[in-house]
Amino acid sequence: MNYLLVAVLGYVLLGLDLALRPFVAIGAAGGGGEPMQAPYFLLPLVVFIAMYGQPLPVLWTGLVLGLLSDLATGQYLVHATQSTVTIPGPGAIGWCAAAYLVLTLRALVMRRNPIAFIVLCVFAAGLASVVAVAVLSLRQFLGFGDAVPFSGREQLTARLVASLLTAISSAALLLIFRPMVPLFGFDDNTRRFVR
Amino acid sequence: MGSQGPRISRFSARTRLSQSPGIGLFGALALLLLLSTLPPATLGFVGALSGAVRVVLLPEQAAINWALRGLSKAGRGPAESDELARARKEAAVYKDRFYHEAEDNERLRGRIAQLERSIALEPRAAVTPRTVPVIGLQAEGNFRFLTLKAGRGEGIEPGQSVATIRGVVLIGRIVDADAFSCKVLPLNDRNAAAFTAAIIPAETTPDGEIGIDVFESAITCNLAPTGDGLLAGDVRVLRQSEVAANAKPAPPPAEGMIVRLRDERWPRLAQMLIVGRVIRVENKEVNRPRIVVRPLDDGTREPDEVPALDTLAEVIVRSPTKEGP
Repeated sequence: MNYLLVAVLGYVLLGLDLALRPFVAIGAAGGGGEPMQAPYFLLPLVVFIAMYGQPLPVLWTGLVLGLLSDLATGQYLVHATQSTVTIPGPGAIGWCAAAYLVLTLRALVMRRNPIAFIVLCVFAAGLASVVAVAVLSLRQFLGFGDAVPFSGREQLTARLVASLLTAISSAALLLIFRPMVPLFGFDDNTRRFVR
Repeated sequence: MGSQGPRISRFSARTRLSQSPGIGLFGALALLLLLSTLPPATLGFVGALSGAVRVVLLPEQAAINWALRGLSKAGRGPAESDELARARKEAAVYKDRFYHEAEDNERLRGRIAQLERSIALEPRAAVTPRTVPVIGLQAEGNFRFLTLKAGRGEGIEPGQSVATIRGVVLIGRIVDADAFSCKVLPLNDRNAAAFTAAIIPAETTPDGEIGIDVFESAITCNLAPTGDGLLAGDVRVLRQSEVAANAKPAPPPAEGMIVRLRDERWPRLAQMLIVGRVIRVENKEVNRPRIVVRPLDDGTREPDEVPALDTLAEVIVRSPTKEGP
């Protein structure tokens, strides 16, 4: 796997996650308190890598990109002090689980079929959301719920809507990723069956 | 033969390690799970890492926001004339100056009372206003915030600095800052803390007459975010016996009245800034009516012209002036 290319694409897509998601979010101008209902841009990269890469590097890539996403966008408000805290982990663990899901399912799908990539992106984002909310719920269960106001139902709803919307971003990103398969250093062995 | 033993053993260990290469990954996952459950006080070091990541991403984020803002501006209608905008700005600044003077006046009276009781005075806090570009409105974690392109290097202090429109309309408090950017928690975010405010009745008179007597008889209210972008809370109407003898009795809260921050938990430089305008009064018949306030509305614009947080291109940040060496 070409780690330099992954790093460059990761940088660009994490920037898109930060800057573009607020503009394409649905219902973002409300009272806040829940994540934006907007498509993910970086997660489809993890899914794409997971469709072609070796298992262990794929899982590490999911973990590292998820951690970077947590560090860039995983800030929470502490109600008592009205200050912020960055919680590293919910995204990283969720994205690692998403990468594992794709590794498990990739043998069952046709890699060159765009629908397969889009569906896997939605499933992966959904699983990442469930895992992230589970980790945050565990945090609340352990007693820090008062410090960081958190509604599991609202978080899960918003994140699952975002997962569905990821179908749109993944379809667009596939147009960029697909020609890059050789640059990534992946072996697209399905080509040998194509004339 | 004797030297073969350890070599085989090393080889075996390496083989074992290569057969279970996920140990490091499981370790990392366990560490992250542990970090996810630590209390906020122990996660300070993560904030520094987070700040570094955001600093690296800032140029790209700013470029994308600049491009998107250009696109959205192109799709909008013509802006109001420069003269009208200047007049509005001037009027708002003068009104703001008056209320600050009124607030200072009241505070000085308190200080005199303190002096009389031989209590030391605090030095007056100086304010440094800065015009700061807005990077964008975002929502992450459990709150929504406005990212500004100014950080600690420009004297922004989390908890001590506030963001305003034209220096007079309060947007919210700055809750986080790194070297080059900071985050503003809007007053109306669902998880923002409740605060007390004063309703200034004189601002609603047709001729705009403002007097110190009405300031003294201002109604106080406790406002909290409702979750749908508005603020609401109970109003405490002062009885005649509680109002200064020479002051007019405060009129009951009514739609259109301007609400200004008056809360000891906020920095002094934010006191008496405009919070918004009363758009609805509920439970009028009881002694403790409830008001609903639209934030960012300073009463100078039509309701549909009130700026939305996601359309702001720049704000004025009020920070405490740093003392010289």
